[in-house]
Amino acid sequence: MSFQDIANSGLIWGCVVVGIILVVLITLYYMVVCYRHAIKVGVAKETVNAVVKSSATFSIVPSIAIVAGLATLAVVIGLPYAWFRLSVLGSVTYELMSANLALKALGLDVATADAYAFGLMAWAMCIGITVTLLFNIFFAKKVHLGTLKLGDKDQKWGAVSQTVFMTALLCALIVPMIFGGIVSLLTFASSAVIAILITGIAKVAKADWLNQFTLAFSLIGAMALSVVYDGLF
Amino acid sequence: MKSSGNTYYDKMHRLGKFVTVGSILVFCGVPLVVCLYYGIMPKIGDLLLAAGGLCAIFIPTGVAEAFGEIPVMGSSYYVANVTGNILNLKLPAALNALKVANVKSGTEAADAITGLAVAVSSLVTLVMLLLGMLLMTPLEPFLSSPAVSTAAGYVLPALFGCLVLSFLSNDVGGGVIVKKRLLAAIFPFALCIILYLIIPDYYDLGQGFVMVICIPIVYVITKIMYKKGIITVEMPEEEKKTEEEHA
Repeated sequence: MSFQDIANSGLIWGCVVVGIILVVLITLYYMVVCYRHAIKVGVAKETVNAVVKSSATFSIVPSIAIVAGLATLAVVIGLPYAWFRLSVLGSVTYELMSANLALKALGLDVATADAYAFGLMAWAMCIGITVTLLFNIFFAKKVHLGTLKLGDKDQKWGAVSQTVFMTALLCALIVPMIFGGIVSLLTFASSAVIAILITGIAKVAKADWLNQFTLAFSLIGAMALSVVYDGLF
Repeated sequence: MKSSGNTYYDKMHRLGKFVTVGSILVFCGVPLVVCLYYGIMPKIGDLLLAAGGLCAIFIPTGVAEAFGEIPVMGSSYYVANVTGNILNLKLPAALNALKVANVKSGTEAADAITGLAVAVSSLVTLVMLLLGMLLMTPLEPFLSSPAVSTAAGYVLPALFGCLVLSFLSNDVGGGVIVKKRLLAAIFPFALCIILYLIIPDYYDLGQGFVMVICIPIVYVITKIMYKKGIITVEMPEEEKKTEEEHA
């Protein structure tokens, strides 16, 4: 059997469909648990529903970028496994790198890859990310609860200390967006400006519901503008 | 808001571990079944050759990123990992949800709201990928068009431009006002800029490590500024009363 025969076989389609259904069920269950607990601890049902709406609408556009990655990855590893990998754990960059490294290790490329190369590639994709999952099993709780204890003695310091992590995270994350070229900087600034405009419109028009969609509109607008900026610079 | 104690976190972390173990089984189960059925199980030597370099890069980076992301995402980090795309989807979803719900970070409400946002975001991606897979042939020209490729490359600045705005506000959620806290970010931010300008490629590759370096720096500066009264905190009325009762 060839690489392509296995990559598009009925068995792999079956395994992938079962795997994705399990992930969907796990995520749905988790969603219900969180929804109920948010209401139990006193968050208004309207607010919880607003979070659901806002999260769903804003997630559509970044998901299109992931679907675009599916088209690229499917060329290399076949449609069913690409669909599986991007649905669970994966990112296009990691998957493409591991697929190429696996083929290189055998001295092959996409055109000459054989059945054995598919097995090697599938496992090479698994290993790296699975190890980080093991880290979560043993250490995520310790890290999380450790940070929550920071404000045990002083309520005010507790409130401040919880902002420390977000500050550190954003310091590290936004630098490449601001200094990574003029298009990136303009896209970043456009997103902020659109957010200010939407917040202003919501305030003037007394349309609080609009605030739920600020991120979605900013994202779409800034991404569309990034194409314009890319053409200009 | 009522608090049901630490049991909620125990329950959510147990659930998270269960979710993770389940996903590892699914994740490894698919290649295991396929390789056993077709007799194409790779040799350990080939696997080390193919995955060794990748593991050397991704494992330390992944672990370092976890230290930066877990305090913000809480118990939802397990589910976020199962469906991936944390920086470009799950983390923004979590930050956006905290803003929409206006809850204080580090509370059960914030943890549940973050988990809800991550789960909804994951389901949307799963649906979009299903649609993309089913409609791959008609969508292919659109998905591989230069405009979509360009726009997809700027997802992160398009997301964080908006998210950073809400972070600049003194209101950190739940009615808590923290003034001048951003002063503590000046030095680490400058440090990140210098690092990025000197070693841009390594910076992109090791962003998780940069986060880990920034956390203690921001923490120490914030603590000193808080102790000296430069950073001030105003609690909401109901919590002020509780604090006075405790005092």
